Amino acid sequence: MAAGPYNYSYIFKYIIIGDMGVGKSCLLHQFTEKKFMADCPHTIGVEFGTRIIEVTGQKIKLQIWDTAGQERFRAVTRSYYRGAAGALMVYDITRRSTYNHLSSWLTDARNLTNPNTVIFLIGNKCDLDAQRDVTYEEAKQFAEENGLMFLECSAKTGENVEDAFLDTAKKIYQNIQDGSLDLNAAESGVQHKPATPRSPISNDQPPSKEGCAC
Amino acid sequence: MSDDEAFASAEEGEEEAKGSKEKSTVVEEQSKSGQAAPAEKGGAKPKGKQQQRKKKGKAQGKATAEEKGKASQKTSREKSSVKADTSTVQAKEFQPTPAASVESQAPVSQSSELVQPSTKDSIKADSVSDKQDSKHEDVKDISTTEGLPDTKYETPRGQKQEVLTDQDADKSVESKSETQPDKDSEISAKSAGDVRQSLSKNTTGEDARLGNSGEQSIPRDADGASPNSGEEKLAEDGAKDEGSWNWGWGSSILNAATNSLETFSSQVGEGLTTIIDSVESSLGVPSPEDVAKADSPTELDTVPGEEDTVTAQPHEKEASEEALAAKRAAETQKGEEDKEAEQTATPAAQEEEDAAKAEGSWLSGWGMSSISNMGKSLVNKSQNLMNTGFEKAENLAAGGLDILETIGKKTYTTLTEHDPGLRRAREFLHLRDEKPSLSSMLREAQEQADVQAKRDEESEEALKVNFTALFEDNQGLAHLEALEMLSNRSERKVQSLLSAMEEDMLENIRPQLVEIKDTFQQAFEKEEAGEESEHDFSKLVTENLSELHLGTAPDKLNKVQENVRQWIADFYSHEDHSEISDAKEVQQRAIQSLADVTSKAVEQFHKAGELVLMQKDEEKSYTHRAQSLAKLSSVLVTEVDILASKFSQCLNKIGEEKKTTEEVNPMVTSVYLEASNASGYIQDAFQLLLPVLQHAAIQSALALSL
Repeated sequence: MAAGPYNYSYIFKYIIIGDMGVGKSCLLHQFTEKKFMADCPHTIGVEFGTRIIEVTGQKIKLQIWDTAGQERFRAVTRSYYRGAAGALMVYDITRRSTYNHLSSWLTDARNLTNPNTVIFLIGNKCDLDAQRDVTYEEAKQFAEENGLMFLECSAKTGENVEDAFLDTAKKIYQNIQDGSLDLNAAESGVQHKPATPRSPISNDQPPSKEGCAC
Repeated sequence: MSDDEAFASAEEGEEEAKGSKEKSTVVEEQSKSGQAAPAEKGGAKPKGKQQQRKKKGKAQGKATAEEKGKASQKTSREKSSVKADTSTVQAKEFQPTPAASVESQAPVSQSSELVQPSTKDSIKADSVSDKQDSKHEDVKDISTTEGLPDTKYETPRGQKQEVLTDQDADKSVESKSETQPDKDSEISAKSAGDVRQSLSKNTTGEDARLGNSGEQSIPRDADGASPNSGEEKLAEDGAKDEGSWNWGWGSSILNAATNSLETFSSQVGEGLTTIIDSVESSLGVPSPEDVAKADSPTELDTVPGEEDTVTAQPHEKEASEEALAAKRAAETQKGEEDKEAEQTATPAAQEEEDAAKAEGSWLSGWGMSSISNMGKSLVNKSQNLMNTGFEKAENLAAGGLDILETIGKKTYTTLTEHDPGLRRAREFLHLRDEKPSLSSMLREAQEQADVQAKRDEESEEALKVNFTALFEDNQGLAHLEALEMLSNRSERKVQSLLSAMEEDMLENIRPQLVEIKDTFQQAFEKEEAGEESEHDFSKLVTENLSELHLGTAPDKLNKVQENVRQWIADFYSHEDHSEISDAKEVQQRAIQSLADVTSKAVEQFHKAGELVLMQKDEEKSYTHRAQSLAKLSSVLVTEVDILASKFSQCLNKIGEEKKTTEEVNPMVTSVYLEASNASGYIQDAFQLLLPVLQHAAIQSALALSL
């Protein structure tokens, strides 16, 4: 991976959660690489993806934590919610079970993140409309009842993938602007960065990252 | 005024005016008379002007004096300048109709405020008011600049102005000149001859006044009275008008009179010399004949206004040119005449006599017999008056002037030197205001911009060799962060589990936890000796990972390591290393490789930690797993060291081949620096696994106990 441009103002931490096989890693891959990964291996623990986007003129680096959906990793992945500014909660529109588990994921997301974390509900695999098992309307209603943003996406076609990530970022940025998200809070999930990269001098110390306060 | 001050002032006067013998004597006389105080006020103005003109008018004054071919000594010049000043003052005062002028004059000399109303009444109120305005400004300037309240110096207002004038002779001169232009416009129409006439009239008029003042010591009305009838009328008026400021006025008039006498005497000679630029110029311009014409009594009435006109034309070039010419002429003739002038200057009586002599000689010399006659007659008349009271009056006036000068000086020094706090405060404030000046701000901004631009430029380059940036881009940092979160959570779990544990259970598990902890602490203590020796990286890594029994293969890590090794092998296989890449490229490659390896190593540790927590495999003890992890970390650190030294060798080879060792050395240093950085990350990641392993150990122990 090449050295990316460092002229961003913020780092937003996203976390992608949801049942195994709903396409979390594929969504991330689609968003970061604009490619569909057909044979995506099971994620072990957590993987990462980054992309720099621009919201109202501000460059924002999205640091996306793609968690393992396997139930056996659930205990481990719960460690990674802390400090997420945005949570993408994914289900598979062709598998009702994944939709039914949303309340469990939502509970984790609510309990393990801070109250201002933006939770975005994504119904993946909308390209497989013929096999649809969850209607848009009921998911939309679920989202509204729980105050979630909602979109149906397709990691395969890329439909709405960009929007899901960008809308989340816009919402977070809006929260920053109206002051509801305190950047100084330890777990805001947002790091304000100067536009310039760290100087080489700072290399001597391994950076202690946010979320270490416990 | 006390005698002391009078004396002091007299001394100062000596310093400034070279021919001040007269003054000192005058001062003494004044002190005798004991009426110096009132004289101050009136005297203040003339003196201030004196000094001004001394400064500025010397050159021109000399010049004008000499124009007429009549040499004058320096002293006489100065005095004459004084006279000129007074005459100008009078001229100003004369602007209004003679009758009103008396009152208006006094205010002018005493306080500008007083002057204004009366002058308004006067016909030429505009010009007068202009003057006053300028004076007011001066006063303001003083008060503002010096920060002293006006009230302190109310009495000697004239002083203030004069102080100002002293300070900023140029300024005051300018202000006066400003006032003059108004007149210029009026006067410009008049011929030079008129000017001369006016001068002559003035002188004569002043003589008359002198006489008056001499009689009554307070010649107020002298101005108003027509010079011709001057003596008698003046005497009467003076008697009537004695008042507080009559003195001041009288003194001014007296000065003016003396001045006028001198000027008259020297005028024909050089009396007009030191008169203000304006007077000088105006006087100097006209021809002697005109002056002669001016002597006629009837014309005297017009004198005041004309004088104004005269004063109004200060800066004309003619004056200066003529002045130069006059200088030359005067220098030749000076010698004796100067002496005469001096003598005339000192005592009033002498003045008159000398003046008469001078007139006679000089006027005749210039073919101005008529003037000389007139002057003589006037002088004779005035002489009588002078003999009686004028001497005293003039002395008083001169003394007052001296005193005023002293006061003015003291005021100035007090303002400037004796209030250092004020000055400091002003300077401080001034500096304060200027400290964050625009230029400095711009400079700062420029510097900041430069630094920023430089930093941006450097950062572009630095990013390519910035280990931390590359480490972050390879998600090594994210894995480290995730591992840290995992570790923190495990640590909390360990604490809570241990605190909730029963005693015997705790005793059972404690040795294992301590063992794991010791393994982690000793991991790098014994490794120090064995580094730098070549090793089979992938084999060791795979071995140690399999020992963990986590079901993970170090694919990524091995792959990265292989790539790095391959690159290094390729580099060595080529004879001409510089063909492959230059030093910069090698450095970038080295740091990139270190970042890659480190990222994958941290990721491996992270995955190991996650898997250790998840798996309930009891085949291998956690102590054993800890030892495997310790070995793995040491292998990774060793590999980093080896890579660093290999890359450094590459760089050194390039440096030797290209004779750029000095250029390569810092690169080698940076590679080693980043290698130590990488080792730090690896060891940190390893240490973060301690709580995770302890947590897993407790979990398994608890699971067994159930």
